[in-house]
Amino acid sequence: MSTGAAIEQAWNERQLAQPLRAAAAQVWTYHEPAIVLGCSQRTMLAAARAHSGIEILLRRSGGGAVLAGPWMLGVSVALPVGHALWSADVVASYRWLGELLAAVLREGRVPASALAPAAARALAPTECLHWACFGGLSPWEVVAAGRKIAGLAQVRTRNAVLLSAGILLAAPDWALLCTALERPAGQVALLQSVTTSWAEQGGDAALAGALAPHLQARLRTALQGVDIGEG
Amino acid sequence: MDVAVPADVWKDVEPGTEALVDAWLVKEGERVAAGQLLAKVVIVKANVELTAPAAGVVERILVPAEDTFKAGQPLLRLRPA
Repeated sequence: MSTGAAIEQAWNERQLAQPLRAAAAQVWTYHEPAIVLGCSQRTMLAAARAHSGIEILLRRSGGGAVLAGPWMLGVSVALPVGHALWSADVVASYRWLGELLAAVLREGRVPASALAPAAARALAPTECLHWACFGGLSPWEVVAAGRKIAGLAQVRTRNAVLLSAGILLAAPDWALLCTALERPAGQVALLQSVTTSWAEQGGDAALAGALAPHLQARLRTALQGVDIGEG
Repeated sequence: MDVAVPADVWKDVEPGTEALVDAWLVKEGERVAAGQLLAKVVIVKANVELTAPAAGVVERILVPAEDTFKAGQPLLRLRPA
């Protein structure tokens, strides 16, 4: 378990920079807020850095902006091509991780489930929130009570796939995100309405503090091919 | 030869889903080797590499950077060497 969005992005880059010999996973915590933009949002980088007082980073994976902070756990998983959990299919690649995260959340009494593609299609997207990772729903992302609690993204290279995830432990400071990226103030309430967290869902308080090492252990087991927690 | 994102990448992607050309790494007229990285595209939040299926010369980029495309749509025309 490590801390910091910049350290996380550097770890991700290292996994992709060289031929990967073995699968690796890392769980991240964040003491300070930071915004991590998706790769297609690079044109927003300069303005966001000029406009906000918090760290703004760019990641290689797609999707919308993520507001990392003490309210979130991050996950990185690097899989070499040919690993049992690797798939050529972009959507199928997300499945095992979404199901594992949902299983871990359920162990903490959060009624979470990973969205199969048909279920993700059935939940209408909030178009005006497409710029925010947690404003949309994609296949195998995780919901609780119909609201997003964990988001996924990936980077695929010839040698590896890097999966990443963010899990909401508590309500993020959506106003901070909207202000930093100059979004309408009304979108704060919209983001609140489409997301939920471990705390809001009454997740086991005793497990909350140990969730990061617990998740790290579950990932280690999954990468060894033993179990991902859901059939 | 038209070059598109391989079909297996799109397997479970909802029909009609649009992907995005994130960045081109080659220019028209450039000579490329088989397997060379041509572009990065984004499909369902995944950044995916597009590589040259054969050696040749980039005749035409059919979808510019930051434009969207659909499954099967050619992104680049390659004149094999």
